[in-house]
Amino acid sequence: MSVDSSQERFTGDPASAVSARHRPDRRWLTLVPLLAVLILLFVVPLCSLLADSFRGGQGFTLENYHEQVTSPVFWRAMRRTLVIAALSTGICVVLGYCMAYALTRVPRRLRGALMVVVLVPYFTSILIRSYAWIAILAPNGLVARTLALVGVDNPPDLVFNQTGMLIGTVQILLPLALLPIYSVMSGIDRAAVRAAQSMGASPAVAHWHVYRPATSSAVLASAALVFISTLGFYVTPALLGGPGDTLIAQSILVQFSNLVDPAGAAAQAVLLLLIVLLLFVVLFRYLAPSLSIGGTTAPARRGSAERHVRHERLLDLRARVLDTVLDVVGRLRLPILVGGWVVGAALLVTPLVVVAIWSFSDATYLIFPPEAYSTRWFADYFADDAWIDSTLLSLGIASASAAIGVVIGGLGAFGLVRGPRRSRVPVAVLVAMPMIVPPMIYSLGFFVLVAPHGLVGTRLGLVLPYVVLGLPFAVSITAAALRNLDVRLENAARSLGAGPLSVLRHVLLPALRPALVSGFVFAFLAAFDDVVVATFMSGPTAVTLPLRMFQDIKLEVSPRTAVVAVVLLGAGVIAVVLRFVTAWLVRAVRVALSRMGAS
Amino acid sequence: MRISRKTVLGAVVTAGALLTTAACGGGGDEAAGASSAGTVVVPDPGGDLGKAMKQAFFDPFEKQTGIDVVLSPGEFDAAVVLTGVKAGAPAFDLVNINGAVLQRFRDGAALEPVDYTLWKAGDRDKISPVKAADDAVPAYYISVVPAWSTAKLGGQALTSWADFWNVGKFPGKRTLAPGSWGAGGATFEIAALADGVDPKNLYPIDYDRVFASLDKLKPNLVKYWETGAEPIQLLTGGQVTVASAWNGRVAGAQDKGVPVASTWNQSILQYDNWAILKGAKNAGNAQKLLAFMMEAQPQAEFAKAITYSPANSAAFDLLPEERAALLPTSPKNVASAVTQDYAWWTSPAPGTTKTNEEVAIERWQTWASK
Repeated sequence: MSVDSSQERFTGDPASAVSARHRPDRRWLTLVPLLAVLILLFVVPLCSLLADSFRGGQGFTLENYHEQVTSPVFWRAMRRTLVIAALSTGICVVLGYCMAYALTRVPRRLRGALMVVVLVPYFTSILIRSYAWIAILAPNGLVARTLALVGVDNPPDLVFNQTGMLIGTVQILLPLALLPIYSVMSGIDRAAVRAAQSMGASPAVAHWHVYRPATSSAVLASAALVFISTLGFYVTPALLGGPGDTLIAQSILVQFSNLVDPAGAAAQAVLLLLIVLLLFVVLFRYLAPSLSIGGTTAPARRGSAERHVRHERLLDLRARVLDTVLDVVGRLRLPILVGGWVVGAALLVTPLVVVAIWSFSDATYLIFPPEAYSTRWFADYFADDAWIDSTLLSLGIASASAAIGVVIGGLGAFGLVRGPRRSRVPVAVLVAMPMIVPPMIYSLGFFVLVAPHGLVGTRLGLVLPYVVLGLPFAVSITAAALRNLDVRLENAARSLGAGPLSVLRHVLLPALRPALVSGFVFAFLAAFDDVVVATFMSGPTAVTLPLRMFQDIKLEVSPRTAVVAVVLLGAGVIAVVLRFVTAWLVRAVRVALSRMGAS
Repeated sequence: MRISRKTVLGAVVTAGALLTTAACGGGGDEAAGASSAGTVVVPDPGGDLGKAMKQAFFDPFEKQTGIDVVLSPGEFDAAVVLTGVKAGAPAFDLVNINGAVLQRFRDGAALEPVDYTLWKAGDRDKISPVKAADDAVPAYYISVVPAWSTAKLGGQALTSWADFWNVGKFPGKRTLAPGSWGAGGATFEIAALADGVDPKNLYPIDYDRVFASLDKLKPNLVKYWETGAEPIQLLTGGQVTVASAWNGRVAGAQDKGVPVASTWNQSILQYDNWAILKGAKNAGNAQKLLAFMMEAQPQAEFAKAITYSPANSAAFDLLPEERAALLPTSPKNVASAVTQDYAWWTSPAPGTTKTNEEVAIERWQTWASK
């Protein structure tokens, strides 16, 4: 592989590489597959659509943009979207951080079980999860009934408003915030924290000054992931929001589907893209230094002495406030961590419990609690070849696209972090694009491009866009882990005579394993959970499972989709149990063999 | 360490294998055309409607001709289907298109003319109350009706859209289809009728009156429903007491023992059209299927399977009276119904380059986002 040979010229600091060895640093070559995929499968289809947004009756026009920019509807939807995105990002990251940290401190065995809790929401369709939330949050729902038992008669309105939207969104995105942080945390050596504590720092202070900086890039990455994902949400806000709580994705969809105005929809998407990019540039500028990542800290501004003193006082005050807060948090760390898990687990699991109960319902509609129970919907599922085919198809397509995504994305992440500095920002922006661009818009561009070539309704036609959608996860999670991996480890291995493949096998892969695994998981889920791309790319002989579920529950709100969740969950549990059983068997056989050898 | 490396390598090998399978399986779509008499691809509307079509139209047609009817459960989104036609790869051969959306297909020159030479003599003239066009044939009639939960309202019954607005007499939350569907959920007509507009003067829609009427309902409006099944689900789950819903959904729920009821009074009559897409791979078979479906006998079978009205009025001769009474265009029910005027919805709005529907959607977006 040409990619591996590039690492032959593997040296230390890229800046000194050229002068030191007179050999060019070719680590950038690992970026090639990533860039090729993104340009061919993403930029090209999008550009054709982008061109549309400037197209009017007579050639080039800015009319589509003018119409959006002057529309109060667009700005209201945009403002609402940004607020919801910011709120859900905040909640997800704080909860995710607490939960990830708690995960690193619990015994290994428990970790597996808790990990299942984190991934549980992905086992079923977004639609039925939303219906479950309605059953839980509605005025006659679980929460209200529980509150009534303890004497609260007028519970707050929890659904069909922005609160409901927020709850549904957080449930879907919490794993997205948690896993990248966890993958970095699990690689941190706690010796430094213990050292700080042994020198007198309180646990919270030691955490803040020693542990937190090491996780800051992961926090930023997961915040970005969550924020951007929220922008594309359509189904959950539509079902859980109130009348008029339109978000930008819905607005784009109305423009596209109801007004049949692809140019206007493309213009909205482009404007969304610009606003998000601008936001990121500004945030990164101000956040990056204080999080001690990225570029250099801004040089202190020169000012009058008085201002300087005031500045000092402010800093002093900030430090004192921080200390007090840290002290409180430190004392309360156990309740905070446990509380975080209780809240998080409740958010993640409760809808799935409702869904699981529904799957055993005898009714044709979703009534909670069901009046009668039966397994007839399971019989229905297993008797229907179409459902089984779709399940297998989706598993295959999602695995294939995630595997390709992790290989290309892993290499790309290496090139991004260890490669030339100049390419970092443009490449990072390009990688983030598939997440920022609403899937509706991207799918449309891709569809128009490949439809004449007979790719619609084929497996390949589904795998290709899913690779693109999975790449941002694979790259950003791996890159976050790589940034925290000391480059000197690789250099040391090199200097001890390790070849590039050896470095990859003995240094990079072991250290990056949690990140690669979570990258795979997310790329898998991005494909396994998708309805939008499938809408365009499915055909009579290739209907993905989410699309089938979406269609089914859209037409007839029956417990059939709930069954899918339980079946997948059951399959997952069986796989985990099988793994433990085989591991136990292997160990038992090995022990027996060694005893035989000894005797 | 060894295990971890193996796992990773294993994952890569698995990935490779899966990719190969995926790539090799890529040609699978051609397999559908294996049958000797050929195929015809139709979108599967699913649910009760899908079952009714299969039972009344597709199964008998397959038996009679040997042509395979392939039901494709792809999302029927007009914009997506139109894009497919423009790209030269229509996803379906024969489609059922909502009355208000049909014009977009005409504007996009996306329809094949219907071959009436294949039709049984006299069938074309029996298509009513809306006539069969050169490129599209009304498929069936459905109604948007006021529906309510009998569990919540007991013996009380609504008799008009004004009652729908009357929260004092019929307490409880409400749900309507979003006006961003334009004519789709009939929400504009409903709001106007509720405010006392005479059905004869419904068009052109008086937006100011419509939105003033909606403003009155808004405090009691829980949400807009997004799918046909949702209003029934909200009624069943007790989140709303009164909802606008399609008559077939209400009847389907009643059959399943769900405590809901509806009235034909001021029901809003809508219809879908059958049409053949330009460039359809199996256009010939699609013409044959269309001719078969519009015969009186299959039309009657369809109306027996689901409470949607047949487009061929001769089918009423083959239906028992009690069944006819459940259908939107039976003489008694249609008397108090308002037929949605798709011609108005698709005509250009005065003083703009847009259609009335586009203007309505834009005004709705502005109102709803407040």
